[in-house]
Amino acid sequence: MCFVLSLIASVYEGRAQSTGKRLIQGKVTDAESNAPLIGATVAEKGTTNGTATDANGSFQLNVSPGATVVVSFIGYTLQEFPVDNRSTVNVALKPDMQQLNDVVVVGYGTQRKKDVTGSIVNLTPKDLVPVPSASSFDQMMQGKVAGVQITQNSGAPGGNVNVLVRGVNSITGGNQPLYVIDGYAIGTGGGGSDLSSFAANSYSTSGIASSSGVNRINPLSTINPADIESIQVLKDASATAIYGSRGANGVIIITTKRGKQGRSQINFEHSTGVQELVKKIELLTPRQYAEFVAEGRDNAWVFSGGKATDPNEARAANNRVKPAFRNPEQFANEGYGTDWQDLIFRKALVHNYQLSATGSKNDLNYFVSGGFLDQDGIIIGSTFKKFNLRTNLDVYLTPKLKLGTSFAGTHSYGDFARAEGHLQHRGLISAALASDPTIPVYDATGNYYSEFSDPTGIPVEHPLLIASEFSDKRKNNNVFSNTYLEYEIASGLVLKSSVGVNYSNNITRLWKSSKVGLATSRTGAATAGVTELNSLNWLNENTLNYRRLINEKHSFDAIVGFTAQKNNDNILQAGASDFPTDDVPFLAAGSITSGTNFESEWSMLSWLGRLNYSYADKYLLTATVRRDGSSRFGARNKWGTFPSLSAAYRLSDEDFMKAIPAISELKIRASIGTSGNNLIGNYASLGLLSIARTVSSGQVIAGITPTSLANDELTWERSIQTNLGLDLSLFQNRLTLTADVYRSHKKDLLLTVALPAASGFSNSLQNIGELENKGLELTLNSQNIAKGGFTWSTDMNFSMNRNKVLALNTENARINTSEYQVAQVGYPISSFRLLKIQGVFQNAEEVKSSPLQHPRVQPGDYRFLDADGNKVITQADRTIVGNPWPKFTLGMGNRFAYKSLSLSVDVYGSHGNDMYFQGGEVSINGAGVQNQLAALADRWRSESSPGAGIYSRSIRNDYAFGFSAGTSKYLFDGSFVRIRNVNLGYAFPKTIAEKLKLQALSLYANITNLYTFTKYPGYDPEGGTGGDNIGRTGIDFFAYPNPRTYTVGVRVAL
Amino acid sequence: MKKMLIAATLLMVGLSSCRDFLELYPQHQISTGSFFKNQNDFEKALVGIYSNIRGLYSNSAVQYVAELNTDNAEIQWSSPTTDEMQLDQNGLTSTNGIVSGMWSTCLSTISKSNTLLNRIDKVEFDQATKDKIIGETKFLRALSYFYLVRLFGNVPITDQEFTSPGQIAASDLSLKPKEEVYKIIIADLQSAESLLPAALNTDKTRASRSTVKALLGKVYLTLQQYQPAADKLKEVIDANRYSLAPAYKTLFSSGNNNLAESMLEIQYTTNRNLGNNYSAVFTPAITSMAIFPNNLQGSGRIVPTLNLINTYEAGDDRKTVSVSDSVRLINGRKSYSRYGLKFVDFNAIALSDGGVTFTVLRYADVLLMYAEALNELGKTAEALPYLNQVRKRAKLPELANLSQQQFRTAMEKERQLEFFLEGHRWFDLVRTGRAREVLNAHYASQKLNFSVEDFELLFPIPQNEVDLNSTVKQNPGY
Repeated sequence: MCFVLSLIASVYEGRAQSTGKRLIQGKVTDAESNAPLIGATVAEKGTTNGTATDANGSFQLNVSPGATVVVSFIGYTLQEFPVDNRSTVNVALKPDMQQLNDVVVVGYGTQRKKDVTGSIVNLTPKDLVPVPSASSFDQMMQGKVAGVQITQNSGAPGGNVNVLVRGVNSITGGNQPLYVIDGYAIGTGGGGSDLSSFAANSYSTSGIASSSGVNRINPLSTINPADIESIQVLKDASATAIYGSRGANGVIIITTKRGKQGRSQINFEHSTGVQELVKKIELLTPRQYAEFVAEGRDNAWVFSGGKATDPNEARAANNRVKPAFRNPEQFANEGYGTDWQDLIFRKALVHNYQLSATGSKNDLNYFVSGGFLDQDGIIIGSTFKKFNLRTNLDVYLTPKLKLGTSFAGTHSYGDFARAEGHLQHRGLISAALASDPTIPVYDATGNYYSEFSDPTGIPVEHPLLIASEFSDKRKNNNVFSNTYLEYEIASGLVLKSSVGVNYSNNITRLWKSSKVGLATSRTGAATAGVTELNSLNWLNENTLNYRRLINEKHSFDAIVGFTAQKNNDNILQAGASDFPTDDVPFLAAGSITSGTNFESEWSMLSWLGRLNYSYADKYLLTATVRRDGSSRFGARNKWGTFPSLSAAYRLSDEDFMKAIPAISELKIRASIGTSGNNLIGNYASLGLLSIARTVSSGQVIAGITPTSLANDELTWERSIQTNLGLDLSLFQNRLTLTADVYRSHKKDLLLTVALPAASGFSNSLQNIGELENKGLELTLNSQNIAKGGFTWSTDMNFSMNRNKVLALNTENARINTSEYQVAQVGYPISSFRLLKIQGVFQNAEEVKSSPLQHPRVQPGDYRFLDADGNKVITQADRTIVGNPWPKFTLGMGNRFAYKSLSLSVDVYGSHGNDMYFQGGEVSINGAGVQNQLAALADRWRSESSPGAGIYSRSIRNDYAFGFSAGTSKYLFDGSFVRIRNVNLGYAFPKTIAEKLKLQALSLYANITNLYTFTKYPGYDPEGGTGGDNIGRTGIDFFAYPNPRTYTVGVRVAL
Repeated sequence: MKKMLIAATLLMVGLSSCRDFLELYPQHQISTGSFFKNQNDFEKALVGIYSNIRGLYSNSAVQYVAELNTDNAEIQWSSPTTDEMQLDQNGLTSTNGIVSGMWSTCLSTISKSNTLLNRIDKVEFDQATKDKIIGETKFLRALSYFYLVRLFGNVPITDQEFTSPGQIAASDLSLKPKEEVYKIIIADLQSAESLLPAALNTDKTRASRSTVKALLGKVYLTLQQYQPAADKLKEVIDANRYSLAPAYKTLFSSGNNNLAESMLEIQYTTNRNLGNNYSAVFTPAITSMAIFPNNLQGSGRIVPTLNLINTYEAGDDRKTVSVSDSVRLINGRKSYSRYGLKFVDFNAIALSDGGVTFTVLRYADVLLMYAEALNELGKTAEALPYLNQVRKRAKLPELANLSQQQFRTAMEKERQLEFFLEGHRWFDLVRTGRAREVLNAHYASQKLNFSVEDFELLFPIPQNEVDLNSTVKQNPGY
C-alpha cells in the first residue's frame, strides 16, 4: 500500500554511517545476576552515534577522542563515563526499581512518568494484587482510578462490569472505553449486555433466538488478571487523541508481563474461597403477609363496589381471600416463615490456580502462564469455568532486530441463572421474594407446592422449578496473537511493525422446558434458542520512532505511524420448538422454526504522529495528531483528523524551587485536543431496505421496503477536551498529589432524530446533539509511617463529574432512554423522569382538594405532584426527579506492613446516585398479592393507622398509576460505602523460603465485599440490569447480587 | 535491509487499495443503490407497500380512530392508556400516539409509493406488468391520502423520493388544503382504474379495477358528488363480479380468506409475527374467563356499548355474530361482560397473534353506498332494493315506503350494525354531518360528561410534526 512504502523508503534514505574514529568494545551486564543485557543502548554523549548490545551483551562502537559514553537500558540506572584511553569497557548496570515504576505506557510508546503532560493513571503491580475471585481485571480497578467509574452490575460468575471514563459521553453511541492489549486496540468491553429485554422477551422461537444474542460473559475476562503487568488509563485528549476516532470514551492500556533479562522465576498461586449472599432482603413476616393480602383483596372488592364483609362466593375471583388469612394470628410474627431466599441462594466455592514461568535464556525473553478459575455462583445453578494460556516471547535476532510475539488463548464456559426480571417472566429472584411465606416448599407427596392457579394464591412459579426448567449455557473461546518486528535503523531511530489477530467465538444456548410457561400460563411448549457469534479482528501497525537529545537540553521523541484494522462479525441464530421430550435441550431434538445469519464488518485506516519535546526536563510539550478513515462514516465524511496539544512545566527543577526541600516534584500540566467516538454501528450511514411481509391465502409473501435513510454526512462524535493538572510530591515523595480539572464538550452527538412522517422514515441517525462533562479528580498517595519495620501507606482518590445535555435536535426534545429515563437539555443523560409521589392521602378531604388522579381514588392512595399544574394527573406530570450519576466517588486503600505481615483494606464509595429499584414493582407494589419488603408493614391502613406515610394501602387493583407506572416510589438513594477488599498476607522470611529451595513463599487471606453501608433496599446498590446500555443505568430489576467472598491462598516462587 | 523490504512488501499484501478498504456494504441487506433494477424488484417493492398498510389494521388502529371514538364502542379495561382514554372520550390531544400512528403509517405508505413510482419509469420491463404495479401503487397511495384527508383535513403532499436528511429539510412538507389532496386522490384512482386489468382479483389482498372503482365511489360520496359516486358504484355492481356472502358469520371467522364479497382483504397468519390483535382488544379482561384455549385473558380495550347492543332489531342475524354480553368462566359459570366477536380468533394461542382476515372494503359497502348516493339524488325508491339486499342477508324484513330523511336514518343504523368493528362508524357520521349530534346524544344518554365539538371533527396534527417543521400549522382548537 501506498502509505507504508513511502514511510519505509524515507527511513532508508535517512541512514548515515559515522567514520574515522577509535573503536571501543565491551559487555553490558546486570549488576545483580551478572547476566548479559541484550539491547542496551551504548551511545557517545551529545552525538547521534550509538549502538545496542548483542545477544551476549557485547558491543562495539567507534568514538571520537575524549568522548563520554552513556549506557542505558530500560529498568536500569543509566551510567555515564569518559572513555579516556580504554579500548575495552565493561559495564554492570544496576536495576532501578524506581525508574521501572516510572515508565508509563502511552499509546504507541512509553514515556517517563515525569515527562507526561496529559492525564494518565498508571496502575502498577502493587495496585493490581488480583482479587482472587475476579474473573476480569476491570473488577480489580474499581475505586483505584480517579475519574473512572466502575460498576459491577452483576455478581454472576463471569458477569459484566461497566466502565465509564469521565462520565457519559454519548446518548446513542457506545460509552465503553477503548481497550488496548499490548498495543493492540481490541475494541470495547461489555457490548450488548442489557438484560432488560432478555428478561422480558417472549419464549416464542424467534423470541428465544433473539434473547440468546444478549451478552452475559464479560469479554474482558479473556485477559487473565494474573498476567497483567500494568494498566494505564488515558483520560484527557492529550493522551487519547492518538487513538483518534476511538479515544473519546477514554483508553485503557493493558500491558501483560514479559520475560526480563537476568531474572528467571516460576510462580505458582492457588486460592480457594467461599462466596455468600451479603444480606437477605427483609420481608414481611408470615402474619404481616396474611394481613396484607386480606387487606388488599378486601380493598379491591370495595373498590369494585362490594363490601369488605362479603364472603368469597360473592366476590370476583381475584378478590377472594384465603380463609386462613382471615385469622392472621395463627402465623408467626417474626422470621421469614418459609424462607424462599434460602432456597435459591447458597454458599458457593471458587478456586483459582495460576502457574507461570518468566525469565530469559540467551537472546530469548519469555513469559508463559496458565490459569484455571472454577467458580460457582451464589444463586443455584450458576457456574463459570475459565482456562487461560499465554506465551509472550521476545527475541533478539540481531542486536538491532527484535522479534516478539504474544499469544493468548482463553476458553470459558458457564451456566447462567435466570436471576433478573419480573416473576411473570420467571425471574428467579423476584419469584423467590414474591412467594407466600405461609406455604410449604413441597407438598405431602414431595412435589413442589404451588398455588399458581389458585385465585387466592400468587401466580408465581416455584423457584426450584424455574431453576431446573430454564437453562442458559454459554461458551467463549478467544485466541489472540500479535507479532512485532522492531528494528533499530540508527541510534534512536526504531521502526516497528506488527500484525495481530484476535478471534473470538461465543455460543449461547437457551432452553425452556415444557414444564414452565410464561405470564399466567403454567406450562408452555418447550423452546430452545442458539446464537453463535464469530468475530475476527486483524490489525497491522507500522510505526517509526525517533528519540534524540541535543545539547543535553533539547530532548525529542517523535513517532509517526500507519495502521489498518478490520473486523468481521458473523452471527448465526436459530430457535426451535416442537420438542417431543424435555430430555434433550438441543435444537437437534426440535424443529427449527426461526433463525438468521448475517455478517457485519468495519474497517479503519489511520495515520498517526506524536512529538514529545522537552527542554532541560523543565518545559514539556506534546503534540499528537491522528487521521482516521472508517467504513462506518458516511461517504462524504470518511476521514477525520484529531489533533491535541499539551504542555507541562516542572517547577521543581527550577533553582528557586530547589530551595524548598519539602517539594520533591511539582509539575503543572495543561492540554487541549479532540478525539472521537466511532461507536455508531456498522452501515449506519447507508440507506437500507428490509424484508417486509404480508399474507396471501395463508401464505407468507415477502416484499422489500426502504427502512433506513442514507446519511452521507454521518460521522464520529467529536469531543473537545481541556484538562488542567497538577502533580506534587512532598517530603522525598512520601506524599504525592495529583489533581486534574477537565471539561469535555461533545459535539456532533449522534442522535436518532425524528423526521417528518412525509419523508417516509420515522427517524435517522444524525450528528446533531451536544453535551458536556466537567469534573475534578484528586489522587493522594501518602507514606504515613515507615519506621522500625512498620509501614503504613494510604492511597486515596476522589472524582466528581457533572454531566449535562447541552443540545438536542430541538430545544424541547426529550429522548426516552428507558421507560423511566430521559435525555433532556439542561439535565444529565438518563435522568429519571417519573410521577412524583408527595405522600399518601390521609382523608377524603385531601383527595377532594387535590388534582384528579382517578375518579375512585381513596384515602390511603398515593398523592402525585401535578407538575404541569392542569389539575389532572396524567403521564404528562412526570417530572425529572433524579439521575443515576454519583455526585462524587471516593476510593481509599490503606496498606499496613510489619516485617513479614501485610494488611490492606480497600474502601470504595459512591454518593448521590439514584437507583430505580424496578424489583419494587414486585416487592413494594402494595398489590395485596406478592410478599413485600418489611417496610410495607408500616403502610397506610386506615385514617387512624396511617403508618409511616411512605407506603399506600394494600389494594389489588392497578389504577391511578399503580404498580407498573414509573413513579418516584421506586426511586432510592443509591449511595454506598463498601469495604471492597481486605487482604492479610504473610511472606515467609527469605531464610525459610531458601531452606525449602524457594525464592519466595507467602500466604494470604482475603475478604471481598466485606460490608456495604447503604440505604438502598435492594440486594446491591451496584446492581443494574441495563448492562452497557447507558440509557438504562441505575435500573435494578433484581440484578444478580455481588457476593461476599472469603479466600485463602498461597503464592510460591521457584 | 533486504529483509525489511520483503517484510514491508508482505505487509501490503492483503490490503488492496486504500479507497476500497473503507467501502463496506452489508452483504445480508440490500442498500438503496442496488435495488429497483428489474421487474422482480418492483413487484417485491409493491408487496412492501402492501405490508406497510397492514399497520392501519393489525393493531386495531382503524378501530381506535373510527369505532372507539364513536357510540359503537368503549373501554372496559381498568387501566387504559391516556391515548385510549382520549379516543373514548373524544378529547384528543396532539400527542396521542394512536392518532400519530395513523398519520405516519399513511404517510410512509405514500412515501414508499412515491419511491416506487419515481423509479419504475427508468427500468424497462413488460408493460402490462408495469401498469399493474403502477395501478396498485396509486391505489394504495390514494387510500392513504383518503384516510389522512378525512381524519386531519390538510396534509403534506409530496411525490418525491427522499434520499438524505438534507433533502428532507429542504423540501416543502407544509400542509396543503384538502381540496388539493382530494385532487390527487381522484387523479390516482382514475389512473389506477385505467391501468389495472378488468379481471376479478381472486387474490383479495390485491386491488383490482373494481376495488379502485369502489374506493373512488366512496371518495365522491364523501365529497357529496352523488352523481359521479352513483355512476362509479353502479359500474361495480353491474360488473357482477362480487356477491354477498350467504351467511354473515363467514365474513368474520377463521377461514374467511378471498370471499366473494371481499374487495380488499388484509389476511393474517399466526406464529409468524403476521397476526392481528383483535382477539385481545375486543374481548374482556377477566382473569378466569374461558373462551380461548389455555383460558387466555383479553384486554377489553374496544368493546361494544350497551347502546349498540340495544340497537339490533329482534331477529337480526348479525347480533350473535357481532357481539356477546356473557363470558364463560373457568368454573363453568357465566359472567356479564360485553365484548365483540368479529375477527376474533377463538383458536388463538397468543391473543395478539390472531389469524382471522380483516376486510377493508366489501361488496355490502358498495351496495349501501350506492343506495346512499341514489337517496341523496332524490331517488329513494330506487335506492331501497340495495339497502334491502343487505337487510335480507341479515334475515331482517325489507323496508319500504321511506321518505328521503327516513331513508337516511335507516341507512345510518344499517351501516352501524353491518360494519361494527370494521372501521367505518366515525367516517360515516362525519360524512353525513351527524357526528356531533349522534355522539353527544350518546354521551348524554350514558350521563358521561364528554362531548364532541366542531373542531374535533378533525384530529390534531401530531405534535412531533409541528415541532419538527414550523410551516406545519396545527388544526384549530388544539
